[in-house]
Amino acid sequence: MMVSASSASLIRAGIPAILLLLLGGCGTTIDESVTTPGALTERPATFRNEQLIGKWGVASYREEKDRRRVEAQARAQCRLPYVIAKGPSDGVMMHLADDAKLYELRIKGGSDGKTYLGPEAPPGEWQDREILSITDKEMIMRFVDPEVHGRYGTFIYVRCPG
Amino acid sequence: MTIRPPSLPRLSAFTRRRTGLILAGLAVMAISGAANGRQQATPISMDIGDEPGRVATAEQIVEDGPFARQLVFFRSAEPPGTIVIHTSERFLYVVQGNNRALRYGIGVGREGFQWSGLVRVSRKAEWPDWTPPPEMIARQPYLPRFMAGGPGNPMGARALYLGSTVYRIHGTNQPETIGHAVSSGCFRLANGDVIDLFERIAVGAKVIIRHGASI
Amino acid sequence: MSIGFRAFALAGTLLAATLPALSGTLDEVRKRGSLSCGVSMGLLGFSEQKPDGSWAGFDVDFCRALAAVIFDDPRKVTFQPLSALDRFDALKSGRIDILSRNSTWTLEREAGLGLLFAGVNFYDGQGFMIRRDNKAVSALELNRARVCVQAGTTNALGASEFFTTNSITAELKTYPDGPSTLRGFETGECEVMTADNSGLFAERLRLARASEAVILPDIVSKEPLGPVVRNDDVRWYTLVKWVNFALINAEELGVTSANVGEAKRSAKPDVRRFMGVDGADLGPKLGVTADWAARAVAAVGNYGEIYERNVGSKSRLGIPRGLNQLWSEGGILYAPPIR
Repeated sequence: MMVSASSASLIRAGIPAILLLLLGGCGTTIDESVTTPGALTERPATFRNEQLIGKWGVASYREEKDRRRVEAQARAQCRLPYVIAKGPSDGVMMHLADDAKLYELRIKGGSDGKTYLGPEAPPGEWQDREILSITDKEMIMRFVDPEVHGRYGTFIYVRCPG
Repeated sequence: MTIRPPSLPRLSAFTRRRTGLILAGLAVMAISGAANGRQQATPISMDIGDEPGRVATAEQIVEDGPFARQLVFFRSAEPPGTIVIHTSERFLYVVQGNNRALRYGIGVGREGFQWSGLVRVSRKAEWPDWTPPPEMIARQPYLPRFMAGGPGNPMGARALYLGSTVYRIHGTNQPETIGHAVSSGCFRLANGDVIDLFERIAVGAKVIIRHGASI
Repeated sequence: MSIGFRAFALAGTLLAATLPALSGTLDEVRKRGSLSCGVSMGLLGFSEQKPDGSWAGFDVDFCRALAAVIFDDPRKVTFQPLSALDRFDALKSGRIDILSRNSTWTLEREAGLGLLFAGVNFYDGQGFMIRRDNKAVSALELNRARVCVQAGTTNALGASEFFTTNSITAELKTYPDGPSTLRGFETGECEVMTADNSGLFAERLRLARASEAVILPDIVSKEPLGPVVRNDDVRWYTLVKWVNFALINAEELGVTSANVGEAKRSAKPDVRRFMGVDGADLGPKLGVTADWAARAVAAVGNYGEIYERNVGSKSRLGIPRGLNQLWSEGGILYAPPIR
């Protein structure tokens, strides 16, 4: 049962999921990448929208071995920062994947215990990002859609000085 | 696994949404040294921009047709191991001596038409990192400002850096663009082909870039 | 006396400059309103008749270029499909003005049949096809191979001579026709198939898996193909010859069907002469207008465009330029300059 279920999701997710499997190197990666959209209910979130506001250097990576290096690169990208502003309904103005328009997004807690960032919709929607961590200096997130995640990898945002 | 370029196993959602990216896919590298080189208008471009993160497997080669890697007749006084790039033909030749060359189909970006002449391979890199130029960030603000090398990177599996210029021969995550003038990048080969080229060419090899005459 | 001499000289000059050759082919073509062009009865990439009756191909485009030079209209051509047996008679008897039909230039055909080849527009020659898993990169590595070849062709003799000259032991297996030769190769009766290079690329397309066959870059014989005219009209011969040279020169100069309009404003002397902007007397010396060469390129493109579209990288055949690349770019195509 377990085997057939996971191979079905691999077929649906296509190459990116296979990539995740290879790069992740552990079983939990698969579970995380095949979140069924819309199946979650919302819970109170552990992070606040305001924590995202500011200027960030942004870089992405796929393999854990690149993470330190990419973190340094993200810091260097403050020359061309990604600016997150407060939205009209207390959300934050950010982009979705592959779309040059700004949308108002907000942080959503999921019933799976994870934190999502996305437009007004149940947590874990295809367009959402999953927030892996946020500190004052750095946040790490990735797209929920395994196909999009496969293309972009994991994003590191490093807060720019000033 | 090998595939023919027109039939990618999976076209990303991004492909469907790539409106307005023609100009956006400006440059994998900034333009410099153009003043010294011969200029030529880019021929009709494929209506396609860079698709960062689009995943092509490392093994993809152009399997069949004129842009497949093949030995051809090629008269040349250059020593074996020299690369000759004919941008207007969309071919890259590796001189083999004895009037023959190994020919690869390439895609040529706008930047690839800015410079002609003789350079040498100054550096080689596997799965090179990618820094989208500021013009591209302006059009596609959702892009990361830096992307570590890997299968979804528009630079593809390998890169050969040309002299001290900003030009390079690199792979691609869009093998169907081989044989066309694409809107960005220098000289791109399918990932499997650029890996093959990478193994054959040493740092220091001569690279001759030609555009064909202009009126 | 001196006046009389000058008048005589003047009359002579006028005569030479204005009188066309008696019953010249160019005048007949003009009077008829279309060019009569002999082509093959159907050869992939070279001359093919489409379902709507129109013709396309490398040999077809040469006649369209010539018609464009004469009429400024590439459609003013009547194509006459001819068999190998009929082709030279059709030309000799005047049924056609020009033969543009993959014919090899030989001494016998010029001196024996009274014809003239107006240059070469396709260097063909005998080549070899092998399977991709065969690691040979040169025809010299075909020792102990079984070689399929069509019986009664020059290719059977050519292969035999090539192997003997190079001390190669190979077994020639002959077949009565093209399809059976290909089948012999496909079913593994031979490791190698030999034919003229252009023919090998066409045959390869008929294989169930074309990508599994590789055509070696070696060309081991001379089969120069080009347009043919009668040898009794040097003026017509000269025009046809220079149309061929013009198409090659256009590629070398960078004049294409896409930029031929703006080429008139080029600052380069050789481009300006090509376009008839400078040296406007050159076209009339051939019996056509000053912009003759530009007309040809506007109609069918330069040599490279014609090649790639019909038999090269934009066609199903995908024949590499090889010998048919410009002399300056790795091939042997070399056209005298227009000046």
